[in-house]
Amino acid sequence: MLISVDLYTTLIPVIVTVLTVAVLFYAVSRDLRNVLAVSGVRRISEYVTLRCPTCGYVKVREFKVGDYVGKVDDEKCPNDGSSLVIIGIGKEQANA
Amino acid sequence: MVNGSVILGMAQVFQATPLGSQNAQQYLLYNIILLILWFGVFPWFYEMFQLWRYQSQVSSFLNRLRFFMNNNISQVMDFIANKVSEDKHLIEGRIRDLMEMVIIEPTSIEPEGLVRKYKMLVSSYNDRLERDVIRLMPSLGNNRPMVQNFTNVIDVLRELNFIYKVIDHYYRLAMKYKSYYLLIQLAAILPLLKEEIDALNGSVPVFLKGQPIGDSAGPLTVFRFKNLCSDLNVISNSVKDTYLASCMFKDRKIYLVKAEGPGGTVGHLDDAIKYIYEGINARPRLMITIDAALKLEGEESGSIAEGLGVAMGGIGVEKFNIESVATKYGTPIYAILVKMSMPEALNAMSKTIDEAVNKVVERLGKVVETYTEPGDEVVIVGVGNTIGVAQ
Repeated sequence: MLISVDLYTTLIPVIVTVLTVAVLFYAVSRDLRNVLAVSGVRRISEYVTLRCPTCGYVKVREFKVGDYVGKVDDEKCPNDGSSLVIIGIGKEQANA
Repeated sequence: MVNGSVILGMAQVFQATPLGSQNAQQYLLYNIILLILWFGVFPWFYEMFQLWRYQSQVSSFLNRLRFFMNNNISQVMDFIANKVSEDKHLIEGRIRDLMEMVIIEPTSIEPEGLVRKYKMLVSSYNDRLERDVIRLMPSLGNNRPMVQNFTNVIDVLRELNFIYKVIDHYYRLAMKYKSYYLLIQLAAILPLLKEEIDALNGSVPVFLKGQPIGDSAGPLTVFRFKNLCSDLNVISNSVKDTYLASCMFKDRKIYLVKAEGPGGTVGHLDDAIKYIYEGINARPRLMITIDAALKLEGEESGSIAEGLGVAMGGIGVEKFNIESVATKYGTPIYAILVKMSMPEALNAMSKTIDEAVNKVVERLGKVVETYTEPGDEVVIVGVGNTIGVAQ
Protein backbone atom coordinates (compact mmCIF):
# COMPACT_ATOMS: atom_id res chain seq x y z
CA MET A 1 0.00 0.00 0.00
CA LEU A 2 1.37 3.40 -0.94
CA ILE A 3 1.79 5.84 1.94
CA SER A 4 -0.20 8.99 1.40
CA VAL A 5 1.75 12.16 0.65
CA ASP A 6 -0.29 14.00 3.28
CA LEU A 7 1.07 11.72 5.97
CA TYR A 8 4.59 12.96 5.26
CA THR A 9 3.93 16.54 4.48
CA THR A 10 1.38 17.33 7.14
CA LEU A 11 0.72 14.75 9.80
CA ILE A 12 4.23 13.61 10.78
CA PRO A 13 5.71 17.12 11.26
CA VAL A 14 2.67 18.05 13.33
CA ILE A 15 2.97 14.94 15.49
CA VAL A 16 6.74 15.43 15.88
CA THR A 17 6.25 19.08 16.85
CA VAL A 18 3.53 18.31 19.40
CA LEU A 19 5.54 15.46 20.93
CA THR A 20 8.69 17.59 21.08
CA VAL A 21 6.90 20.43 22.83
CA ALA A 22 5.27 18.01 25.29
CA VAL A 23 8.59 16.30 26.09
CA LEU A 24 10.36 19.66 26.46
CA PHE A 25 7.69 20.93 28.80
CA TYR A 26 7.71 17.75 30.87
CA ALA A 27 11.51 17.57 31.09
CA VAL A 28 11.99 21.20 32.06
CA SER A 29 9.17 21.26 34.60
CA ARG A 30 10.42 18.01 36.18
CA ASP A 31 14.00 19.36 36.37
CA LEU A 32 12.89 22.55 38.02
CA ARG A 33 10.67 20.67 40.46
CA ASN A 34 13.61 18.44 41.42
CA VAL A 35 16.05 21.27 41.89
CA LEU A 36 13.85 23.90 43.46
CA ALA A 37 11.41 21.81 45.47
CA VAL A 38 11.56 22.42 49.19
CA SER A 39 11.39 19.51 51.54
CA GLY A 40 7.89 18.08 51.81
CA VAL A 41 8.03 18.12 55.59
CA ARG A 42 6.77 20.96 57.72
CA ARG A 43 7.33 21.58 61.36
CA ILE A 44 4.33 21.32 63.65
CA SER A 45 5.76 21.90 67.06
CA GLU A 46 8.91 21.89 69.13
CA TYR A 47 8.30 20.44 72.52
CA VAL A 48 10.06 20.00 75.83
CA THR A 49 9.48 17.05 78.16
CA LEU A 50 9.77 17.86 81.87
CA ARG A 51 9.94 15.33 84.67
CA CYS A 52 9.80 15.57 88.41
CA PRO A 53 12.96 13.93 89.81
CA THR A 54 11.10 12.92 92.98
CA CYS A 55 7.77 11.44 91.89
CA GLY A 56 8.27 10.96 88.13
CA TYR A 57 5.46 13.33 87.11
CA VAL A 58 5.86 14.16 83.41
CA LYS A 59 4.70 17.24 81.56
CA VAL A 60 5.15 18.45 77.97
CA ARG A 61 5.26 22.09 76.95
CA GLU A 62 6.42 24.27 74.04
CA PHE A 63 10.16 24.79 73.56
CA LYS A 64 11.59 28.18 74.52
CA VAL A 65 15.01 29.52 73.53
CA GLY A 66 17.33 28.81 76.44
CA ASP A 67 15.87 25.38 77.21
CA TYR A 68 18.25 22.43 77.27
CA VAL A 69 18.13 18.85 78.47
CA GLY A 70 19.18 18.74 82.12
CA LYS A 71 17.97 22.27 82.88
CA VAL A 72 16.09 22.71 86.13
CA ASP A 73 12.96 24.52 85.06
CA ASP A 74 11.08 27.24 86.94
CA GLU A 75 7.96 25.11 86.84
CA LYS A 76 7.11 23.08 89.97
CA CYS A 77 5.67 19.60 90.29
CA PRO A 78 1.95 19.77 91.21
CA ASN A 79 2.37 16.67 93.42
CA ASP A 80 5.33 17.53 95.65
CA GLY A 81 6.46 21.03 94.62
CA SER A 82 9.90 19.89 93.33
CA SER A 83 11.41 21.76 90.41
CA LEU A 84 10.84 19.94 87.13
CA VAL A 85 13.87 18.95 85.05
CA ILE A 86 13.96 18.95 81.24
CA ILE A 87 14.65 15.39 80.08
CA GLY A 88 13.95 15.73 76.38
CA ILE A 89 13.56 18.26 73.58
CA GLY A 90 12.18 17.32 70.21
CA LYS A 91 9.99 18.25 67.33
CA GLU A 92 6.99 16.62 65.76
CA GLN A 93 6.67 16.60 61.98
CA ALA A 94 4.03 15.70 59.45
CA ASN A 95 4.08 15.46 55.68
CA ALA A 96 2.79 18.60 54.05
CA MET B 1 10.64 3.42 14.64
CA VAL B 2 10.09 6.72 12.84
CA ASN B 3 13.27 6.25 10.78
CA GLY B 4 12.11 2.75 9.91
CA SER B 5 8.81 4.08 8.60
CA VAL B 6 10.64 6.69 6.50
CA ILE B 7 12.77 4.02 4.81
CA LEU B 8 9.74 1.82 4.31
CA GLY B 9 7.89 4.77 2.84
CA MET B 10 10.75 5.55 0.46
CA ALA B 11 10.90 1.96 -0.71
CA GLN B 12 7.19 1.94 -1.39
CA VAL B 13 7.41 5.21 -3.26
CA PHE B 14 10.15 3.89 -5.55
CA GLN B 15 8.20 0.70 -6.15
CA ALA B 16 5.03 2.51 -7.07
CA THR B 17 6.34 5.57 -8.92
CA PRO B 18 8.37 5.46 -12.14
CA LEU B 19 11.83 6.95 -11.56
CA GLY B 20 12.36 10.30 -13.23
CA SER B 21 8.73 11.39 -12.83
CA GLN B 22 8.10 14.68 -11.03
CA ASN B 23 6.43 12.98 -8.10
CA ALA B 24 9.37 10.64 -7.57
CA GLN B 25 11.83 13.55 -7.55
CA GLN B 26 9.73 15.36 -5.03
CA TYR B 27 9.55 12.30 -2.83
CA LEU B 28 13.27 11.77 -3.11
CA LEU B 29 14.05 15.37 -2.24
CA TYR B 30 11.61 15.35 0.62
CA ASN B 31 13.02 12.16 2.09
CA ILE B 32 16.62 13.37 1.74
CA ILE B 33 15.67 16.52 3.67
CA LEU B 34 13.93 14.38 6.24
CA LEU B 35 17.02 12.16 6.64
CA ILE B 36 19.22 15.23 7.10
CA LEU B 37 16.79 16.47 9.73
CA TRP B 38 16.70 13.15 11.59
CA PHE B 39 20.41 12.39 11.55
CA GLY B 40 22.00 15.84 11.21
CA VAL B 41 19.83 18.52 12.79
CA PHE B 42 17.82 16.72 15.43
CA PRO B 43 20.81 15.10 17.24
CA TRP B 44 22.49 18.48 17.35
CA PHE B 45 19.30 20.06 18.58
CA TYR B 46 18.94 17.27 21.16
CA GLU B 47 22.46 17.86 22.47
CA MET B 48 21.88 21.60 22.67
CA PHE B 49 18.61 21.03 24.48
CA GLN B 50 20.25 18.66 26.95
CA LEU B 51 23.07 21.14 27.51
CA TRP B 52 20.56 23.88 28.19
CA ARG B 53 18.52 21.58 30.41
CA TYR B 54 21.48 20.59 32.60
CA GLN B 55 22.74 24.15 32.62
CA SER B 56 19.39 25.39 33.93
CA GLN B 57 19.37 22.69 36.62
CA VAL B 58 22.83 23.56 37.89
CA SER B 59 22.33 27.33 37.72
CA SER B 60 18.99 27.03 39.58
CA PHE B 61 20.74 24.95 42.22
CA LEU B 62 23.49 27.55 42.61
CA ASN B 63 20.93 30.36 42.89
CA ARG B 64 19.10 28.40 45.55
CA LEU B 65 22.31 27.76 47.45
CA ARG B 66 23.29 31.44 47.29
CA PHE B 67 19.84 32.36 48.59
CA PHE B 68 20.24 29.87 51.47
CA MET B 69 23.59 31.33 52.49
CA ASN B 70 22.35 34.91 52.44
CA ASN B 71 19.18 33.91 54.25
CA ASN B 72 21.17 32.10 56.93
CA ILE B 73 23.45 35.08 57.46
CA SER B 74 20.33 37.26 57.82
CA GLN B 75 18.95 34.81 60.39
CA VAL B 76 22.20 34.98 62.34
CA MET B 77 22.15 38.79 62.27
CA ASP B 78 18.51 38.85 63.40
CA PHE B 79 19.24 36.42 66.20
CA ILE B 80 22.16 38.39 67.61
CA ALA B 81 20.51 41.78 67.04
CA ASN B 82 19.45 42.16 70.67
CA LYS B 83 22.18 40.05 72.21
CA VAL B 84 25.38 41.83 71.26
CA SER B 85 26.38 45.46 71.24
CA GLU B 86 29.02 45.29 68.48
CA ASP B 87 28.67 46.84 65.02
CA LYS B 88 26.40 44.53 62.96
CA HIS B 89 28.01 45.34 59.58
CA LEU B 90 31.42 44.52 61.00
CA ILE B 91 30.10 41.22 62.35
CA GLU B 92 28.51 40.29 59.02
CA GLY B 93 31.70 41.08 57.14
CA ARG B 94 33.74 39.03 59.58
CA ILE B 95 31.32 36.10 59.32
CA ARG B 96 31.79 36.17 55.54
CA ASP B 97 35.56 36.17 56.07
CA LEU B 98 35.31 33.16 58.39
CA MET B 99 33.22 31.36 55.75
CA GLU B 100 36.25 31.57 53.47
CA MET B 101 38.60 30.01 55.99
CA VAL B 102 40.44 26.98 54.59
CA ILE B 103 41.96 24.04 56.40
CA ILE B 104 44.96 22.47 54.74
CA GLU B 105 45.27 18.77 55.41
CA PRO B 106 48.65 17.53 56.60
CA THR B 107 50.72 15.70 54.04
CA SER B 108 50.39 11.94 54.02
CA ILE B 109 53.59 11.27 52.07
CA GLU B 110 55.10 10.12 55.35
CA PRO B 111 52.23 8.59 57.39
CA GLU B 112 54.20 8.52 60.66
CA GLY B 113 52.39 10.69 63.21
CA LEU B 114 49.58 11.59 60.81
CA VAL B 115 46.84 11.04 63.40
CA ARG B 116 48.58 13.34 65.89
CA LYS B 117 48.89 15.98 63.18
CA TYR B 118 45.19 15.69 62.37
CA LYS B 119 44.29 15.94 66.05
CA MET B 120 46.36 19.07 66.46
CA LEU B 121 44.83 20.55 63.31
CA VAL B 122 41.25 19.84 64.44
CA SER B 123 41.92 21.22 67.94
CA SER B 124 43.57 24.33 66.47
CA TYR B 125 40.63 24.84 64.14
CA ASN B 126 38.06 24.60 66.94
CA ASP B 127 40.07 26.88 69.24
CA ARG B 128 40.68 29.39 66.50
CA LEU B 129 37.01 29.51 65.53
CA GLU B 130 35.91 29.94 69.15
CA ARG B 131 38.45 32.70 69.74
CA ASP B 132 37.36 34.44 66.54
CA VAL B 133 33.71 34.31 67.64
CA ILE B 134 34.63 35.79 71.04
CA ARG B 135 36.80 38.45 69.39
CA LEU B 136 33.92 39.24 67.05
CA MET B 137 31.36 39.49 69.83
CA PRO B 138 33.17 40.02 73.15
CA SER B 139 29.80 40.40 74.87
CA LEU B 140 29.22 36.68 74.29
CA GLY B 141 32.50 35.84 76.04
CA ASN B 142 30.89 34.76 79.31
CA ASN B 143 28.26 32.61 77.63
CA ARG B 144 30.30 29.58 76.54
CA PRO B 145 27.35 27.52 75.21
CA MET B 146 26.32 30.45 73.02
CA VAL B 147 29.90 30.78 71.72
CA GLN B 148 30.01 27.06 70.95
CA ASN B 149 26.65 27.16 69.20
CA PHE B 150 27.75 30.15 67.18
CA THR B 151 30.93 28.29 66.24
CA ASN B 152 28.74 25.46 64.94
CA VAL B 153 26.78 27.96 62.85
CA ILE B 154 29.97 29.37 61.33
CA ASP B 155 31.04 25.81 60.57
CA VAL B 156 27.77 25.13 58.74
CA LEU B 157 28.01 28.37 56.77
CA ARG B 158 31.60 27.53 55.85
CA GLU B 159 30.48 24.11 54.59
CA LEU B 160 27.67 25.65 52.51
CA ASN B 161 30.07 28.19 51.08
CA PHE B 162 32.57 25.47 50.19
CA ILE B 163 29.94 23.41 48.36
CA TYR B 164 28.77 26.53 46.52
CA LYS B 165 32.26 27.43 45.39
CA VAL B 166 33.14 23.93 44.18
CA ILE B 167 29.90 23.50 42.20
CA ASP B 168 30.20 27.02 40.81
CA HIS B 169 33.79 26.29 39.74
CA TYR B 170 32.83 23.19 37.74
CA TYR B 171 29.74 24.89 36.35
CA ARG B 172 31.83 27.77 35.04
CA LEU B 173 34.39 25.37 33.60
CA ALA B 174 31.64 23.40 31.86
CA MET B 175 30.19 26.57 30.36
CA LYS B 176 33.61 27.91 29.40
CA TYR B 177 34.53 24.79 27.41
CA LYS B 178 30.93 23.85 26.50
CA SER B 179 31.61 20.54 28.19
CA TYR B 180 28.45 18.52 27.91
CA TYR B 181 29.75 15.62 30.03
CA LEU B 182 30.99 17.80 32.88
CA LEU B 183 27.52 19.33 33.14
CA ILE B 184 25.92 15.87 33.12
CA GLN B 185 28.14 14.82 36.04
CA LEU B 186 27.22 17.97 37.96
CA ALA B 187 23.51 17.47 37.30
CA ALA B 188 23.77 13.82 38.35
CA ILE B 189 25.05 14.64 41.85
CA LEU B 190 22.57 17.48 42.44
CA PRO B 191 19.87 15.35 44.15
CA LEU B 192 22.43 14.03 46.65
CA LEU B 193 23.84 17.49 47.26
CA LYS B 194 20.33 18.89 47.61
CA GLU B 195 19.71 16.60 50.58
CA GLU B 196 22.94 17.70 52.21
CA ILE B 197 22.23 21.37 51.51
CA ASP B 198 18.71 21.09 52.98
CA ALA B 199 20.16 19.41 56.07
CA LEU B 200 22.82 22.10 56.54
CA ASN B 201 20.39 24.90 55.81
CA GLY B 202 17.87 23.59 58.35
CA SER B 203 20.54 23.21 61.02
CA VAL B 204 21.38 26.93 61.29
CA PRO B 205 18.25 28.04 63.25
CA VAL B 206 18.53 24.88 65.37
CA PHE B 207 22.13 25.68 66.33
CA LEU B 208 21.20 29.28 67.03
CA LYS B 209 18.42 28.18 69.40
CA GLY B 210 20.61 25.53 71.01
CA GLN B 211 18.18 22.65 70.45
CA PRO B 212 19.35 19.03 70.52
CA ILE B 213 19.90 17.61 67.02
CA GLY B 214 19.65 14.02 65.84
CA ASP B 215 23.40 13.62 66.30
CA SER B 216 22.87 14.36 70.02
CA ALA B 217 21.35 10.88 70.42
CA GLY B 218 24.59 9.53 71.95
CA PRO B 219 25.03 12.23 74.61
CA LEU B 220 21.28 12.14 75.35
CA THR B 221 21.50 8.39 75.94
CA VAL B 222 24.26 8.93 78.50
CA PHE B 223 22.22 11.68 80.16
CA ARG B 224 19.16 9.41 80.49
CA PHE B 225 21.21 6.38 81.53
CA LYS B 226 22.78 8.49 84.28
CA ASN B 227 19.33 8.77 85.87
CA LEU B 228 19.23 4.97 86.27
CA CYS B 229 22.54 4.94 88.16
CA SER B 230 23.31 5.60 91.81
CA ASP B 231 26.34 7.08 93.62
CA LEU B 232 27.11 9.53 90.84
CA ASN B 233 30.59 10.99 91.14
CA VAL B 234 31.62 13.66 88.63
CA ILE B 235 35.31 13.55 87.74
CA SER B 236 35.55 17.24 86.99
CA ASN B 237 37.98 19.26 84.91
CA SER B 238 39.86 16.21 83.76
CA VAL B 239 39.46 16.78 80.02
CA LYS B 240 38.45 19.97 78.19
CA ASP B 241 34.82 20.15 76.97
CA THR B 242 34.23 16.58 78.10
CA TYR B 243 32.02 15.24 80.88
CA LEU B 244 33.39 12.31 82.81
CA ALA B 245 31.64 10.70 85.76
CA SER B 246 31.40 7.37 87.52
CA CYS B 247 28.31 5.75 89.01
CA MET B 248 26.96 2.37 90.07
CA PHE B 249 24.51 0.34 87.99
CA LYS B 250 23.47 -3.17 89.11
CA ASP B 251 26.72 -3.57 91.09
CA ARG B 252 28.90 -2.54 88.14
CA LYS B 253 31.00 0.59 88.20
CA ILE B 254 30.09 2.64 85.15
CA TYR B 255 32.24 5.41 83.68
CA LEU B 256 30.07 7.84 81.73
CA VAL B 257 31.73 9.86 78.98
CA LYS B 258 30.14 12.48 76.76
CA ALA B 259 30.87 15.96 75.43
CA GLU B 260 30.12 18.65 78.00
CA GLY B 261 26.88 20.44 77.17
CA PRO B 262 24.68 22.23 76.62
CA GLY B 263 26.88 24.08 74.11
CA GLY B 264 27.43 22.53 70.70
CA THR B 265 30.62 20.50 70.95
CA VAL B 266 31.76 16.92 70.42
CA GLY B 267 34.33 17.12 73.23
CA HIS B 268 37.56 15.13 73.40
CA LEU B 269 36.27 11.64 74.06
CA ASP B 270 39.58 9.92 73.25
CA ASP B 271 41.40 11.98 75.87
CA ALA B 272 38.70 11.13 78.43
CA ILE B 273 39.03 7.41 77.75
CA LYS B 274 42.81 7.62 77.98
CA TYR B 275 42.33 9.41 81.30
CA ILE B 276 40.09 6.58 82.59
CA TYR B 277 42.77 3.98 81.82
CA GLU B 278 45.91 5.93 82.59
CA GLY B 279 44.76 8.72 84.89
CA ILE B 280 42.39 6.77 87.13
CA ASN B 281 44.00 3.39 86.39
CA ALA B 282 40.65 1.74 85.80
CA ARG B 283 40.53 -1.53 83.87
CA PRO B 284 37.05 -1.68 82.31
CA ARG B 285 35.71 -5.08 81.25
CA LEU B 286 33.68 -3.54 78.42
CA MET B 287 33.46 -0.30 76.50
CA ILE B 288 30.13 0.66 74.89
CA THR B 289 29.90 3.46 72.33
CA ILE B 290 26.56 4.95 71.28
CA ASP B 291 26.27 7.14 68.21
CA ALA B 292 23.91 8.32 65.51
CA ALA B 293 24.53 6.60 62.18
CA LEU B 294 23.36 7.48 58.69
CA LYS B 295 20.65 5.07 57.64
CA LEU B 296 20.46 3.35 54.28
CA GLU B 297 17.43 4.22 52.15
CA GLY B 298 15.60 1.01 53.06
CA GLU B 299 16.12 1.41 56.80
CA GLU B 300 13.69 3.02 59.23
CA SER B 301 14.59 6.23 61.05
CA GLY B 302 15.13 5.52 64.72
CA SER B 303 15.93 1.85 64.18
CA ILE B 304 18.69 0.55 66.41
CA ALA B 305 21.63 -1.62 65.41
CA GLU B 306 24.16 -3.25 67.70
CA GLY B 307 27.65 -4.32 66.78
CA LEU B 308 31.31 -4.34 67.65
CA GLY B 309 33.86 -1.56 67.25
CA VAL B 310 33.95 2.15 67.95
CA ALA B 311 30.77 3.86 66.75
CA MET B 312 32.15 7.22 65.73
CA GLY B 313 32.18 9.35 62.57
CA GLY B 314 34.40 12.23 61.61
CA ILE B 315 37.87 12.01 60.15
CA GLY B 316 38.82 9.14 62.44
CA VAL B 317 41.36 10.71 64.82
CA GLU B 318 39.41 10.07 68.03
CA LYS B 319 38.27 6.68 66.77
CA PHE B 320 41.88 5.68 66.16
CA ASN B 321 42.95 6.82 69.63
CA ILE B 322 40.07 5.01 71.36
CA GLU B 323 40.82 1.83 69.42
CA SER B 324 44.48 2.11 70.35
CA VAL B 325 43.74 2.43 74.07
CA ALA B 326 41.16 -0.38 74.03
CA THR B 327 43.55 -2.65 72.14
CA LYS B 328 46.41 -1.85 74.49
CA TYR B 329 44.34 -2.88 77.53
CA GLY B 330 42.37 -5.66 75.80
CA THR B 331 38.92 -4.14 76.29
CA PRO B 332 36.19 -5.30 73.89
CA ILE B 333 34.25 -2.46 72.29
CA TYR B 334 30.50 -2.70 71.81
CA ALA B 335 28.55 -0.32 69.59
CA ILE B 336 24.92 0.79 69.57
CA LEU B 337 23.79 2.83 66.59
CA VAL B 338 20.66 4.93 66.15
CA LYS B 339 19.85 5.09 62.44
CA MET B 340 18.72 8.36 60.89
CA SER B 341 19.00 10.35 57.65
CA MET B 342 21.38 13.26 57.24
CA PRO B 343 18.63 15.91 57.59
CA GLU B 344 17.52 14.21 60.81
CA ALA B 345 21.09 14.08 62.12
CA LEU B 346 21.63 17.81 61.62
CA ASN B 347 18.17 19.15 62.43
CA ALA B 348 16.17 19.41 65.65
CA MET B 349 15.74 15.97 67.18
CA SER B 350 12.57 14.35 65.90
CA LYS B 351 10.12 12.53 68.13
CA THR B 352 11.13 9.25 66.47
CA ILE B 353 14.77 9.70 67.47
CA ASP B 354 13.78 10.95 70.94
CA GLU B 355 11.81 7.73 71.47
CA ALA B 356 14.61 5.63 69.99
CA VAL B 357 16.97 7.04 72.65
CA ASN B 358 14.71 5.60 75.37
CA LYS B 359 14.97 2.18 73.70
CA VAL B 360 18.76 2.54 73.51
CA VAL B 361 18.88 3.27 77.25
CA GLU B 362 16.95 0.03 77.88
CA ARG B 363 19.26 -1.94 75.59
CA LEU B 364 22.31 -0.39 77.22
CA GLY B 365 21.17 -1.72 80.59
CA LYS B 366 20.67 -5.19 79.11
CA VAL B 367 24.08 -5.16 77.39
CA VAL B 368 25.79 -4.19 80.65
CA GLU B 369 23.94 -6.95 82.52
CA THR B 370 24.54 -9.58 79.82
CA TYR B 371 28.21 -9.04 79.03
CA THR B 372 29.64 -8.07 82.42
CA GLU B 373 29.59 -9.47 85.95
CA PRO B 374 28.85 -7.64 89.22
CA GLY B 375 32.00 -5.84 90.32
CA ASP B 376 33.17 -5.17 86.74
CA GLU B 377 33.93 -1.74 85.38
CA VAL B 378 32.27 -0.52 82.18
CA VAL B 379 32.83 2.59 80.06
CA ILE B 380 29.80 4.09 78.31
CA VAL B 381 30.59 6.70 75.67
CA GLY B 382 27.89 8.94 74.19
CA VAL B 383 29.33 10.03 70.86
CA GLY B 384 28.07 13.09 69.00
CA ASN B 385 27.37 16.79 69.26
CA THR B 386 25.91 17.52 72.70
CA ILE B 387 24.12 20.71 71.70
CA GLY B 388 21.10 21.24 73.93
CA VAL B 389 22.04 18.33 76.19
CA ALA B 390 23.70 19.07 79.53
CA GLN B 391 24.79 16.40 81.98
